[in-house]
Amino acid sequence: MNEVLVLMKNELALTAIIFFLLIVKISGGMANRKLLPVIHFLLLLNFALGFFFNKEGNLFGDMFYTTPLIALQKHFKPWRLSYFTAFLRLDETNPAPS
Amino acid sequence: MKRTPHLPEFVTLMLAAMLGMDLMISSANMLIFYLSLELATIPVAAMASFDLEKKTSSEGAMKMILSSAFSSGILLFGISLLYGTTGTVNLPELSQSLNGSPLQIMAFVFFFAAFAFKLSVVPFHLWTADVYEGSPFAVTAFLSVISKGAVAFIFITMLYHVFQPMLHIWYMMLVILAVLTMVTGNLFALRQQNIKRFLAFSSIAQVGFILVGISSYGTMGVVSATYFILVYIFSNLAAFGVASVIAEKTGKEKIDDYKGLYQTNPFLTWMMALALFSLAGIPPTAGFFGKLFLLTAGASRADYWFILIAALNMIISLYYYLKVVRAMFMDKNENPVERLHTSNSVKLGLIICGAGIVFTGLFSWIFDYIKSLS
Repeated sequence: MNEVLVLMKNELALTAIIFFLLIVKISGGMANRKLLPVIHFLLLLNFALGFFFNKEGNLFGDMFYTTPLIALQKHFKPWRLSYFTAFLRLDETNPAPS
Repeated sequence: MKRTPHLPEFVTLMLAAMLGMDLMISSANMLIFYLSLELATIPVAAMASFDLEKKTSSEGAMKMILSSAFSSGILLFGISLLYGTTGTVNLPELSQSLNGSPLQIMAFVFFFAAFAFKLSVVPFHLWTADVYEGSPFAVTAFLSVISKGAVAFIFITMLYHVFQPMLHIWYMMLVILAVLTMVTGNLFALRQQNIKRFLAFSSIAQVGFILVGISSYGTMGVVSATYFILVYIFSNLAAFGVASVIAEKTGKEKIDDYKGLYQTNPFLTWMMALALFSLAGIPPTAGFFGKLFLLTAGASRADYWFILIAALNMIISLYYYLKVVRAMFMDKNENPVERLHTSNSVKLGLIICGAGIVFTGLFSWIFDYIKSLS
């Protein structure tokens, strides 16, 4: 179980954020202005998590494998995503002329 | 997108695509790979059609889903042929079972074509410019950097670890397609007036350079491609960031509209210039080191004519990147883009990208760190 948590930390963290967003949506939603900082924070956590526990290993009968290099390649992405959400904030606060 | 009434849905789609890409990079089984590829692609098509006010957004999404479905079909056919000839879908076993029979070569060609679709390698690039132009800016940036980066990583794994017994076949294919991709991407970028289409063709040309590095088949190939993709993320995001700010606030997407931008928006102009210098490979930006490492990796197989063509393409690309820089700094415009107020989060994002462009190149330990992991 611990190995799954460590080797799949990127995937599990993303899934947790997806579930969080679904719960927010189901429970009546939240204003974009309030939600965006929360998303930024969660993605920052996800990014920070990428610095730790980067081990080599296999899971699910060798159908899933990871190495420190693969962890690095995955690690590039959460940071990028947080950048995109910054654009969304821009869209919200400065609507383009119609 | 403009007023983002469905922000949770949009971010959920983005995260789902990310999850697919993460699983794809880690997959050691063809079926897991295929499923994660679909998970990475379908949400992006939904994201591309997010701008409901624009017809081109829906058109871009439709083109993307059709081209993705087509490439997925080709990929599945390739996988089925591989399974038929080897009896396994596990990547390590597959590598040991390949013997280069005609059926396996055919399977590899299908496989290669599917990857070429996803990476926008010429002649499988036709969807790229239309989808980029039609999609919202954030989605275009996502497609051009994240999506391509993830596919490039798994492409390297497949070539180096699975299709290693067919090295002599894929090397020639890679060289020919790299040359075609660089030349076509550059020639089409030369004549673009829309900034999104310009960046789309520029990104096609950049994929050609990544293929040069991959062709080396060795540690240097993996390291240089990974390093270049990291640099490319910073450069492309900065370019798309500036273009996004201008388009979202003024609706201007033509390169001519950037004339005289420096007079009204010096910060945005410098950020765009830095990004374009990096994409062009001008020292001391990280793009220069990225391309240098790719060409060095490519030269390890001693096909110097190939490296010469890549270097010539770098010179061609200088022309069109600097054309935009000239328009921003030197050209006069009676009606320039007005002074824009950018939010702090966007400024921070652009500054991070700018710092990435400068420091990734200057700090050599980043390259050494990637090398130590491979």
